[in-house]
Amino acid sequence: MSNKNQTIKNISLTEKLMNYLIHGKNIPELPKDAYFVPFSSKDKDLNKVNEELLESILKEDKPVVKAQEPSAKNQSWILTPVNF
Amino acid sequence: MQKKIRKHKKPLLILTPIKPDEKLHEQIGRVPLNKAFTDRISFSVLRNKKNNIRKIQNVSYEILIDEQWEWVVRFDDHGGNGELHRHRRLSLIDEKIIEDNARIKKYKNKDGELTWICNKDIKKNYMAYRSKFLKNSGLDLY
Repeated sequence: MSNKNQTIKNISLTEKLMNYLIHGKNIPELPKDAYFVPFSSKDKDLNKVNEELLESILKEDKPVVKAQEPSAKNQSWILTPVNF
Repeated sequence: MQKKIRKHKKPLLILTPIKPDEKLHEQIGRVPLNKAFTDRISFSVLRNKKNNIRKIQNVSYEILIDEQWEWVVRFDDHGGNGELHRHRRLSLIDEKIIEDNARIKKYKNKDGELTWICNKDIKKNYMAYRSKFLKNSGLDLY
């Protein structure tokens, strides 16, 4: 997947994730400056490149959260701390 | 028989003004956009003790230049009660910032604004914002 395609797809996922973080209930307390790496419920190609992205961010010594998009609209995102 | 039309209402995010004695904490989130790790979206919100959102402070598109994250365009709503504004940085050299609300669609709630920022503005224009900023800064990254 090209850099451009990954960027565009991740911008769309970011919007959904931000809306969840703002509205969602029972959101766990997360470090102030966390990186969220979004994973799509459908797009396997995107998830593959985002897995590589996650690996490279882990080298940055910042708290990283894996954010899995739910498969249904009424479900919550799954936020998994990766390195804290 | 008349056909029933079911209207789905989106929940509104109405932010009441912050009281002076209200204790708030800032939550900053960053979302990297590609595996080259050169672009990201950052957002910061203020939450109260119950973890409810009280203010959307900032949503910005940032790029990595010489191991420093530089914001290129950012959006805020002047304290939660004002209209959504776009702030564009001219370049790394020129400290001038262009503030405008041109072509920003007006929404009654914060959901609509967030969706517009990501899906209608950053997604469509990030490459143009990026190229212009780099060109004005005399840089050629890609």
